[in-house]
Amino acid sequence: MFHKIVAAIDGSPASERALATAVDLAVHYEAELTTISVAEVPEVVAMVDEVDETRHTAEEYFRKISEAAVEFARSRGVALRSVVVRGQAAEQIIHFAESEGANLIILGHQGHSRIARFFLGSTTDRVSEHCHCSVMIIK
Amino acid sequence: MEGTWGIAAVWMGLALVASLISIRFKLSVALIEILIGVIAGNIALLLDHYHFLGIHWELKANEWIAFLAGFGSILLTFMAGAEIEPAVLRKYFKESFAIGFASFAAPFLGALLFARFVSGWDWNGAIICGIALSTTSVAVVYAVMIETGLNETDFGKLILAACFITDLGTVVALGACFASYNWTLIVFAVVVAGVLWIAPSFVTWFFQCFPTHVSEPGVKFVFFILFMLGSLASLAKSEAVLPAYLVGLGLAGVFAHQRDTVRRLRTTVFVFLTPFYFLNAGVKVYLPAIWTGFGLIMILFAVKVAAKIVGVWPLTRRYGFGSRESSYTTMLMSTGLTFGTISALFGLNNGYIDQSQYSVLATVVIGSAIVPTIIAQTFFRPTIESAIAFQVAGTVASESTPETSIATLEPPSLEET
Repeated sequence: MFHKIVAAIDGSPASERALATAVDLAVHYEAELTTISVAEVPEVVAMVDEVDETRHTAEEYFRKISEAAVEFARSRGVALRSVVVRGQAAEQIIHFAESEGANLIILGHQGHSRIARFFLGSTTDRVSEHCHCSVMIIK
Repeated sequence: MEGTWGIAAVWMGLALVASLISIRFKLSVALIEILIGVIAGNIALLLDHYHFLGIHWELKANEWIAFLAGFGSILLTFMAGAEIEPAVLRKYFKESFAIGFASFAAPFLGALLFARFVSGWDWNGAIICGIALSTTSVAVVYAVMIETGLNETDFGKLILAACFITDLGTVVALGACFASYNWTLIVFAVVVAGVLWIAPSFVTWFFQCFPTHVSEPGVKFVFFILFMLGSLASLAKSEAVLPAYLVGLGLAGVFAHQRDTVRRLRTTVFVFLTPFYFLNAGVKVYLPAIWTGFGLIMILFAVKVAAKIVGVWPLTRRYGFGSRESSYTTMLMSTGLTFGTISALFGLNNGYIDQSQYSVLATVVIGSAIVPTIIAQTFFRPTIESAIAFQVAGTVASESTPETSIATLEPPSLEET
């Protein structure tokens, strides 16, 4: 049923559960598994250095997350490709899944407060609303 | 609030809250610091008004906070100048100079004339208004470019170079419009010219003689140059950010090879100086003035964007930008934050504008950091393909292709496990 699975990971407990589910499904369906992590940089900034600092910190963090994901999948006998991109999370996840021809995206539920959800929106909401393929949200 | 340590604790506590909020919501720490400053400053005014608990609550910056805030603005300006890539500026000098200068001159004149003849501000206030609204935020443009990958295309590099020229226009105007035109200005100009001529080779030599050390002689040397030129600027009734930006531009090539020094300098600035600068910029905003001046805020914002459209859009079209790319460039060059607040604060600190006028200008500047960015990203964002295909009229397109992904870890061989 699922031949290409994309799991979005950000190092949160929910995304770790999403990765574990994605690995299980990849084993079950013998699907190709890829993880994507999105390093978000705030657009409204006052200093170029703020951008660079945020970017380097985020990229370093997601690189470590990706390495851990690859290792986790490998321990369960799954070959995992891990990609880190920059940009707005929902947009990049959708774009990546479409370009990869994935037919399932798995995300962890972020559990934002109502206020944060109102102002920032939710990545899971946006992905599930705009993506062409099936979306599984892990709580 | 009374007592040096009590005041320091309150200000650093506000900076800490701003950091935590910015991390939690992935927003700019500088923007949050300004907003926290606005809220805290106005709450303190209210508490002070009602003599709450019999304590003096006003968060007015005392002498040492003013120094730290001023030092923060100087280093912000210096580091902004040092970020430029000289090779990019040389490659697109004609186009970036024309677009950048128009991006400065049109809103400067538009806002100045509007403030003087429609709003009835005096000449000094109108000039501050023109300067504060002439700016472009290199940082906002850079952040957007990084996010979209456009920073690696010729199109993105040209826009960034033009932004540096706009900011150069802003600091030159700030330094020149209020200077005393006498012998002190001549001394200041001669010394700045001399430092700019000598500094690149001398600072390179200095870093070679005194490489990385825990006492950071290189950083101290840069501080020494900035303080010395700042004192001369004050003597000439000019502004210390002018030489700071020029020295930053002059030393950009040197600092490109001193990444460790830049990193340590950056930490010092982020932790200890810019919080005082941005909080101070926010504390001086008087909220009731925003309410009463709301109409003026909207109109000044419209004047800034309209003037940027008049100045930038036709030029970008002339240099071969497509319609979408021209609109995108125009909106990005309508942004502003750091240099806008520096200009408005300069006006307030020197009595050229009052607190109500400062509150109006600061609000327009903060709005210009957010609204044009959203418009540009939502309606005019060019595709990466069109940015790669872009070429300045009469030149050959670069063959560089931006990377959309930062890192890819290919699956390891499972047979190995």
